[in-house]
Amino acid sequence: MSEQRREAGLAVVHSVWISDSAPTFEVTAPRHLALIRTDSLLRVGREGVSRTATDAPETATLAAEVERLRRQLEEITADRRGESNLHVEFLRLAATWRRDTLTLSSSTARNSHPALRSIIAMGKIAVPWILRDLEDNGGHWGPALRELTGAQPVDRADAGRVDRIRAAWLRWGHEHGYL
Amino acid sequence: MPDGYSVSFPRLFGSRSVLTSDVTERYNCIAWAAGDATRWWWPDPDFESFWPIERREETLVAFEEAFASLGYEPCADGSVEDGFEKVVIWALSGLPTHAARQLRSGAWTSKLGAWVDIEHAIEALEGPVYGAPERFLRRARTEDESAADRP
Repeated sequence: MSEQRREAGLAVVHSVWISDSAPTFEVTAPRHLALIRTDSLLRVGREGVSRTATDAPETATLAAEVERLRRQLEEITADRRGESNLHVEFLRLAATWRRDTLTLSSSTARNSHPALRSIIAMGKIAVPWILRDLEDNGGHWGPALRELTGAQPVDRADAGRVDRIRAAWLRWGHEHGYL
Repeated sequence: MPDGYSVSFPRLFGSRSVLTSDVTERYNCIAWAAGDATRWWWPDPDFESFWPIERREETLVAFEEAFASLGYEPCADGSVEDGFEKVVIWALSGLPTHAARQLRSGAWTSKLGAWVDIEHAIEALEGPVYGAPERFLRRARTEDESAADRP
């Protein structure tokens, strides 16, 4: 077994070891990194980040793999910082939109408000944030969700039924993994 | 009242307005004026909101037709007329923004978007958000409507 520690931004490449079956790279990271993303190369869990290879590379290849993993973690950390900043911006825009449209009935005025347009411009990354806001605070988020996702889970017979519209979108969010 | 609303409704402050409900987004001004406290009414093309007629467009004509479907007809003003219930439609730059219903006292009842209901003088809501009253409509009060001012 070999072990290596390297600083990787907020993350630390904690250890590398070779078991009988496959080399394993284990990386520990602050807890907030554990919610970042997973892909075929990197597994991210609440206790840290690890990668398991299916074949056994040479030692030099192993070091290169650790370095590649370290860089990937740096990218993830940077992504996470950017996403976090974007989420803060979403919360600010959502509060502005809610305040400015509180006394309006017009869907046109609501949907064309600059704060909502900025949220929609964020793209699909905003969908889970919108759904959580809808769950917590209600609001007429349906047109924004439709524009972002192309989905229309609300029955026309429920037009105007705010509680049913909310329930339909939250159900859709759960079914599609956004909540 | 939330910060900044003295700008949106400059005439509401100092007028004899009364808060008459909790905050709810279940219904809006048009629904409330029409006597429906269960749905959000607006002629949006996406069917997010309820609208009682096929014509879904943000025009005064479409709003007059919607209330006509409930038995309302145009009238001259918002004066109290025995036996009639009145509705007023506000507009800003020609686009409908708000509606209110007249109570037997002559005061008006409004739902302010997703916020609260108030009783108010008709001029209290004039300003940069709702504009001004543009259309007055009336219909004969039924016995039920004579017995109670709210749905």
